[in-house]
Amino acid sequence: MKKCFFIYFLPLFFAITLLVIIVFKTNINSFLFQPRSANYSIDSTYHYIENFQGNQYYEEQFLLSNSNSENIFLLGSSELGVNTEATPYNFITKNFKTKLRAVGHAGNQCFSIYSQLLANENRLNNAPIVIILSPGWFISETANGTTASLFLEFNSSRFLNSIINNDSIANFKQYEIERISSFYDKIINPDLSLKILYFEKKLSESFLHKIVYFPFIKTCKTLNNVKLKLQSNNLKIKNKRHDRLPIISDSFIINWDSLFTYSKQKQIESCTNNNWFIYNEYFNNYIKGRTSTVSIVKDEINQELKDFKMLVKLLKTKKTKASFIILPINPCYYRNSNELTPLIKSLESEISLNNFSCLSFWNSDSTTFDNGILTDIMHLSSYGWYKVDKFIIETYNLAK
Amino acid sequence: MKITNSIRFFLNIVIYTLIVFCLYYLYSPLNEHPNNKTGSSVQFVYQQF
Repeated sequence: MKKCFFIYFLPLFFAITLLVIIVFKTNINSFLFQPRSANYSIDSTYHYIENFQGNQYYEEQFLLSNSNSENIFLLGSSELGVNTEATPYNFITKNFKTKLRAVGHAGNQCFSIYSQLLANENRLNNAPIVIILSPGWFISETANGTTASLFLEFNSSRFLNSIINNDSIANFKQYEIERISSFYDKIINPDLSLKILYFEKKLSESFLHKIVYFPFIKTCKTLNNVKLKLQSNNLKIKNKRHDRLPIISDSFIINWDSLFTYSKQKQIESCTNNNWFIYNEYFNNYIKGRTSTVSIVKDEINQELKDFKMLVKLLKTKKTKASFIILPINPCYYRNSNELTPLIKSLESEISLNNFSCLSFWNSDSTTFDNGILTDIMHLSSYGWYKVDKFIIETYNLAK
Repeated sequence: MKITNSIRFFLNIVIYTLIVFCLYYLYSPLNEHPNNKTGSSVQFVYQQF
């Protein structure tokens, strides 16, 4: 036994001890492991990006002001891909000193936005943020909330590490942990930041879980810290509080009535093969005269609704200058859109209870629906976007 | 016998240290391998949203 200890265990103990010392020696690690600098394409004057996809430059610019003017951030999903002259990231950026930057594409729902904002919570105070809510998020399968793949497009380990290392947001962090754990099993080969958040959830389940998972989370946290030190330039988000610039009101006169009339007319003219005001190609290729119904999900099991409430809570707590836009759906195509009205009303009341401005386009009555506001069944036309522009300009006092 | 054991002791130290460091090097503290991807084709579902 003594011989066995001397020949086998003592050398093993020595080797492991040496390794532990090396693991904590940053200079040895940085000599042995040099991080590769990421090679991303960057457009420093960007107005719209679909996602971050781990692009460090765009992540760093998120929610920041410009050097001499303020940036309004517009967050939403597929509607942002409708790139017209009227889309706010074109219209406002072109005509005002204050710029507007948009982030998002299909599926960028409440929890994805919540997590992006939470990772940058030090930039939220007074930040002008406009969130576009699509009714499509709250129905059928999409009511299950942001999917894992979508979440990862917008929330890199850089963002997640910022949440992990921030102790001032305990209850919001707990929600992040709960939600990530709900889709953790769908992620193939998760990285350390995701593992830590998952193990945090496991740790909170019972005393037995605490005993079993403690060594795992401790190891992950140690290795994650080594990684953060090695990639300090790439991974860390500066914790300095961001001072926002005042929004300057430009002397800019816009004849909204003529813009609305002209754009509405243009939209109606592009819909000659149907009386649902859907543009011809879309109607021919996808609708073909068919109608559909929305699949309503009960509030109690509507994860997207829970995510929305947490998002509003976060914006309120962090004193953000947030505003919301609620999109409509085409009531001619969706026969039972009126069944969605109670849910939309609850969104509106949650927004107004928290004193945020809201522009709601919701109308489930096809006889009074503002025809031409949509280009297809749920995406805004230029006419709709001009209405959004007017709302943003008035909410943030962009024009004198 | 004593000399053999001492040699084996030092030999084991070298071998174990090499193995442990080799594993650490292969793992790499940069932890770049995890791809954080899902196997879902969820984008297809979102075409309408």
